[in-house]
Amino acid sequence: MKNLGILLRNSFNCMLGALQGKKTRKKAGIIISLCVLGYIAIAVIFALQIQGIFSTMAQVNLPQIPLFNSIQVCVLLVFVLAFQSISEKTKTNDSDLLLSMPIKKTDIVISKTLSKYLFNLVLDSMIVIPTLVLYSIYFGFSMSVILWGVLLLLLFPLMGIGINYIINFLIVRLFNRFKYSNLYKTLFAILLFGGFVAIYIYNSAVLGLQNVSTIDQFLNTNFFIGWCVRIVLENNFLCLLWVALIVLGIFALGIWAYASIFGKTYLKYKDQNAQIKFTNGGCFDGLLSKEVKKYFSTPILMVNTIIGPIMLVILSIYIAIKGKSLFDVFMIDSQTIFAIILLAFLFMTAMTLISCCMISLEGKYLWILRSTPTNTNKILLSKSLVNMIIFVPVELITAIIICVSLGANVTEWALIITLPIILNAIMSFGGTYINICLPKLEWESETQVVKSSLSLVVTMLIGMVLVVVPVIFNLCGINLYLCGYITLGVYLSILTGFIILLFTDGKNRFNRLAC
Amino acid sequence: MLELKNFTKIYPNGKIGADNINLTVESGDLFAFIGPNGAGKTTTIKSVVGINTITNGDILVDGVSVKDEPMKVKSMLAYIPDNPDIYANLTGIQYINFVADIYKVSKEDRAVLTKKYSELLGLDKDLTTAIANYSHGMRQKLVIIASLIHSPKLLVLDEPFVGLDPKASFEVKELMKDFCKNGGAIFFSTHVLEVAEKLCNKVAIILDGKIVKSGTMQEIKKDKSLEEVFLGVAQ
Repeated sequence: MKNLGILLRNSFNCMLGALQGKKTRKKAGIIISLCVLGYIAIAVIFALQIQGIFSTMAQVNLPQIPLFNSIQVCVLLVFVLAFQSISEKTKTNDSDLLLSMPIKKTDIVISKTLSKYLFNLVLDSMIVIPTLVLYSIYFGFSMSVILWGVLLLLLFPLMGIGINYIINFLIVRLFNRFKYSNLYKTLFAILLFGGFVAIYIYNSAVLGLQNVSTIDQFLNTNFFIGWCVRIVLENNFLCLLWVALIVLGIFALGIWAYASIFGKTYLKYKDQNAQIKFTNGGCFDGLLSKEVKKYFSTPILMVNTIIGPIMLVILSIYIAIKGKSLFDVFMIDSQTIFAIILLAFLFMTAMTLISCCMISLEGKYLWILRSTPTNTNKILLSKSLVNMIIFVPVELITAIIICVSLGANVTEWALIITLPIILNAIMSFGGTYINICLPKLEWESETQVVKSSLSLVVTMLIGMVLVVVPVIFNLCGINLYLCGYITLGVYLSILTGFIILLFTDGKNRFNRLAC
Repeated sequence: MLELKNFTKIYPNGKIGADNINLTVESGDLFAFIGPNGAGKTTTIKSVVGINTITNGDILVDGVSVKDEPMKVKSMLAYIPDNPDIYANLTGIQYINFVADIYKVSKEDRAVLTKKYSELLGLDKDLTTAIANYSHGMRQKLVIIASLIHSPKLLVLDEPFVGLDPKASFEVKELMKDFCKNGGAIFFSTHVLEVAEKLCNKVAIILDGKIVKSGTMQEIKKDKSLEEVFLGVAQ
């Protein structure tokens, strides 16, 4: 037990050290204060987001709906955290060190799990606590609701950890035995995560249609989240039993899986019949091929960026099925429908952020590119084109399906096909330039680059601002089609600017990157 | 001090990492464990320190079995890996304190020993800096300091001279000699045969998981250099 305390304290010191910084270490007190302020700020922002639904539902006395919404967000966060730290590494950086010391493996596993649990608990509490506070304000204070809410808060992180451990176990023990293991890992992660996101979106769309008479049925069909709502509001012990069984069952299985692989070495698939093949491509072909292979061999990058194209495919299938009856369903004119679809396309494009990570993903291997007699322009072009290679074919096919299904006119055809492609080109070339300006070359896991690098955040913000451009023009009273053409002009100008920046200033910056 | 008795390690995929190894390291011995890449050096070392499980045979440290009493064995030895990949976000002193806490070293002892070894290795002024800012050599030195903080009886090192500059290399060698003079034992793997030849009194050569030669440096070398012996065996 004493060792457990030492390990936990060490984990806390490591986390604090990461926040204090490497060069000039800021005082721990300041960091902790900033974290607390950040926590309060995020909780308040979330509270403001959901305050509207609480206020509305309080008027019709339907506490189930805002609670369902919050619990759903919490479960989504649990899944996001579970997927965020998917890893095929059975060894952490310190596993050999810890295993060589007089510490029981059980203690090591417990300490790592507890550290993860506490971190996830803090994040989940940013949703649960504001929810409970708002419930007390709008529906009256209830000690049982508070207590059940706290219990669910304590349970949810266990589920996320269990899911994460089980997925890691499957990756190590199952997927790595196959030739195209990265592809299988990515497909599996997308199916699981995408499946949940699809359920979340469907529920969110249907949630608003509920009233008193249908709410019971709605809660029954959404078995897990519905059960959580019933636990909180109805003190339903049967639902509590089911939720506890599911959560604790997943957690127990996950812990077993994690303990069974921790610190062990498992060899990946080795093709016994592999033959040496020589290719005869040019310099640029080699570079581009390397970038595309890099993309497909980085599951976390694929999972993070494939959502946009998948959503486009889902959208196009939906529209292909509904066809022109969509105009009747939503009772708006075709021009507006196309505008909304175009906005959706642009939004998905802005979410596909590949190129803004590709320089950072070179990491400590940047010396390879920098030491070869390779034209820098070709390197930068290859890194930019990956984004377009992944997105443009999907965008073209889905755009064609939608235009054919809805009987688009020439202008609509032109705008739906060109605007997303040009925006994608901006995200590609602009993303590469931003990544050169804000590189993150020192990382221990690709997740740090793909999920939390500054270049990703900046590129995403630029993308979101550009998506809003046609909306701003329309709000100024400009006709929808004219908005489209003006936006096209704006996008082309920005694209030209980024291309010039990338191959002039970007090129110089790349050649000065330390490696 | 260290005894490997018919030690065999077979990985789950059937690969034999170590095959029926018998070795003895006495107190005061500086034992070099050499072999080509993939021969089984790291497998053996990791089994000695309890990271890998043992398939057959046993490993005894001061008469205590690694299989039966791993905690007791681990408290008697210290392991220094080939790649000092340690907590980059901690400072040097935080890392030393962490290791000292695990080994239950008293506050007074850790203060004395930290001062002694950090001054010896020239790291005393950098202990409050984040490890992320350390060079490879500095990290190696920090790991060495942390490993000596609990006064182990046996030091197990995996290629300790990799990435060290000549001065650091010299300091580490001196430290190793002093450690053995004071009754400790060192079991280490290395590719630097000249260092092994000058430093060590005993050597074992491993090839494809099997010990092909083992004994005192004089017995093994006879009138050749260690490099000639090694190349003769490896071919």
